[in-house]
Amino acid sequence: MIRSDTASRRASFDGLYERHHRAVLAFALRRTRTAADAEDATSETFIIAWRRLETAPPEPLPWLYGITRRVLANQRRGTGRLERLRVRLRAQPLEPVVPSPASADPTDPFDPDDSPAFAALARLRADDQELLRLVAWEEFSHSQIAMVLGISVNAVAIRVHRARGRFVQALEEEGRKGSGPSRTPGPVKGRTFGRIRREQME
Amino acid sequence: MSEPAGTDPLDELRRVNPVDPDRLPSASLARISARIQEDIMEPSRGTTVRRRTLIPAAAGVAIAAIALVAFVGGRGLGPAATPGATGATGGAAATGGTGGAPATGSTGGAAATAITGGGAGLASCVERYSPETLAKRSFAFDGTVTAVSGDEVTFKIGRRFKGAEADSITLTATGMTGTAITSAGGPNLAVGERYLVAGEDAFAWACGFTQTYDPTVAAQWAQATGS
Repeated sequence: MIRSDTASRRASFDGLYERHHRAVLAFALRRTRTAADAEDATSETFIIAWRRLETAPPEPLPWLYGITRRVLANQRRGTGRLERLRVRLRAQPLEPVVPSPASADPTDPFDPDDSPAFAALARLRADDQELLRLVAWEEFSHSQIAMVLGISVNAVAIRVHRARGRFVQALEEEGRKGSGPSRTPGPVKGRTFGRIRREQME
Repeated sequence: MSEPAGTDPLDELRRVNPVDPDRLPSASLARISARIQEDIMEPSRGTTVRRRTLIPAAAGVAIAAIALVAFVGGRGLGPAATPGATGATGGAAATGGTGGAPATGSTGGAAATAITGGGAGLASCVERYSPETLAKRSFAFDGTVTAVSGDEVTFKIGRRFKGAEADSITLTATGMTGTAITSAGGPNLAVGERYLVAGEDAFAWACGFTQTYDPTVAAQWAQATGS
């Protein structure tokens, strides 16, 4: 339980942050075009979590992701506060990151741009993309996804089933589209990150 | 579904997970952590969490300590005394060490100024209480607290000694409402309780100018103000 006196409240928050901040940053990085946006979204998430600490459930990660999703939605709408924050954090205007992920290792032959799975995901509508990201990248169960999206577990199961079917279709279309030998992507774990240019993170 | 048993088309997607949470750049993590710390320590931007915290700025505590020492020593001047302040009003405004706007001049010179730092208010005594200094205050009354909201306290006025031409008055009573770590010699104002209250403008002063009602003191106030 989150207690309300200051020291224990702070201790609770510190524990929450310690356990989950990497997961939240990773979640944000998978959904933003720039590292700065992901950092903003992560900071905002925990600042909001601090203010609403008493409402954090015992299993808080889906709750945190729910906050991050709303923060990201606001970000995309370009609310003034986040824009001002971004300006404040950076001395110079951001250069837009190219939408395709950049490999962290220039010697790594794997190019996610060539990945049909990536391309297939990008063909889907936003809701389907988010569902499949939560399944495949956050590796969430249906009940965890239900908490993130605020819908019933049954609704999650139905929607995931449909999204998976559409993904399969899109994958087949990508396969037909590509010419030449199709690459088999290697395992991604072991790279620092893919989507954001490394230089922008440092 | 037509996939062969055991294969999941989402495995293709899993393989292209663009981020490994165990391999995040430390610079990013550091920036995030710094920003959160900053926001939590300075919650003035709209959070509703009210905290009794230690004042983060050491300056606030140091200034309060200096002012209290000055008060006890009878000098009655804050650390930033304005030279040449007239004796009539007894001293100068103590300016805030944390960058707040100093309360000067417009109130006639002296003020028991609230020095704020990190959201907690401190009242420093710039005047030593006495019937004479009481008489110089712009208002003095005998009243009962009807409401407390943060540092704002509303009184129903029972008897006015000076000023306060109203049945009810709301004053800022920094340091006397339990929201500050220290209160410079003022009571903790409570709803339903009766007090003798004096101060300037919309500020109730601590340091003896506001005290729990006592009939003997009330008589002194009446005499000092000639009411």
